[in-house]
Amino acid sequence: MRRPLVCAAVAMIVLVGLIAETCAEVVGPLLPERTLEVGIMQRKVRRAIDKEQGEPVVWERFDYPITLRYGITPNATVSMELSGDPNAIVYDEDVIQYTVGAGIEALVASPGDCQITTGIHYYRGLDVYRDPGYCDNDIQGIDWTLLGQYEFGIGRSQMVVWGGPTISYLIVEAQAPCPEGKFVTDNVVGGIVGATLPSRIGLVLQGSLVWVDEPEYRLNLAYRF
Amino acid sequence: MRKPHLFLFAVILVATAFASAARAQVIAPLLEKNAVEGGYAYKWFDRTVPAPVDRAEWEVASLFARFGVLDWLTLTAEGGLWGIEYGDAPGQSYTRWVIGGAASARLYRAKRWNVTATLTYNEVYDHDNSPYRFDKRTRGWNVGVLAGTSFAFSGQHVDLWAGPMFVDDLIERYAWGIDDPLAIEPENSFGVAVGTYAVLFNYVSGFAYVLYADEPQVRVGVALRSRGGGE
Repeated sequence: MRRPLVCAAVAMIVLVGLIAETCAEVVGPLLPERTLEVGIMQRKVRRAIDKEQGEPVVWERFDYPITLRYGITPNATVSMELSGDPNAIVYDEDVIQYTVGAGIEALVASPGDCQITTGIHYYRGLDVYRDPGYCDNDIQGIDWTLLGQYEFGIGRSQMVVWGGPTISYLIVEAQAPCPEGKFVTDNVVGGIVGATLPSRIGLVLQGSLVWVDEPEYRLNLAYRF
Repeated sequence: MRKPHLFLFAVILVATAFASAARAQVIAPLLEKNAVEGGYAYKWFDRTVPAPVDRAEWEVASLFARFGVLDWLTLTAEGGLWGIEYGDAPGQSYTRWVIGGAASARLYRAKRWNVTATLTYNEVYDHDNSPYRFDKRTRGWNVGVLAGTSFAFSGQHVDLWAGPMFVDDLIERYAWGIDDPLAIEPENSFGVAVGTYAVLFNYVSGFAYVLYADEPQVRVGVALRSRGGGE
């Protein structure tokens, strides 16, 4: 009976998410206690960054981190991401790329059939250009999210849709041979919307759309134990 | 019940292995199902390599998490980010990136004895923050079949294990402006590992083992753990 209202609330959250900006990372619905999810994510980040004064520049990064999420209690899920790619391509250039990150997400409230969670995620990335004409980038990001989650049956599976506002802070530090300098994001408030489809055989498909000046996406294929 | 579907997980594992490098070098006995460990590990690396380098020695620390996902399968993830100093040239400062992971599966169990297969990967990238850009990268695969036994000692749980290991290390040196790194590989790829693991008062664990390949290499670690059990 309350489902239409809940759906309307979720739709509102999604709308808020789409008109705002964010850069949230390993997020998703809370996992049951003692459940481990291991997967691989394709992620595109595209942000407008600024060096104190001057025109913002659009900065872009693709990576493929391995993701781990674990339900430490029924109300909290920790996450971790790792990647290392000695043969990555960025702007058509050969790049050695690393990412290390971790986060936690916890239940805030359970109104009706929904769950409201909040989470924080920190990550650090490195892009090393083998061409000496390009600057290496040391990347740091911290994201806070407030997510509304709603679960419903689809076929023989339970799908979860989720979304909400985010505060996302990103620093890109250019290294030699460029003049050293930190580029930071102009905008830190944003939104994210996503869907998670666990199958009965343990496989989990998850996709999310992030809006940070321009649309970004994350696609995740995982196995849930 | 989920065992029939584990091939799907294996597919993901293989896919991730090809798509991204992220596996570890923490070797310890299997955890109970649903048990979790989080801790700190330290490794001394020492290999004989071809001239002119002759010998490669370094140390690395990392944080790790181990998950007993099934009664017979334990997964490990490892990572770290540290600031380190090398004295190669004045003004150099390095950031060390560590990533890794492992999968260990029980092949056989009889009373207190067991045989376990283990596959581990570890990658260390030392990024030179100075204009020299003299970066260093090392990656290592370890594959082994380990025989072990468990017993109680002074009321605490202790494991001892040993077995042959395939050890594949690659050391790379990047110089500024050169796309192809200088790659160094030890000629010997086989070794043996002997180790111990103990659980103290149910919630603290520690491991130590020696991997002998050309030279003895020691790894130690300490962790907090949760009990396993449940569905």
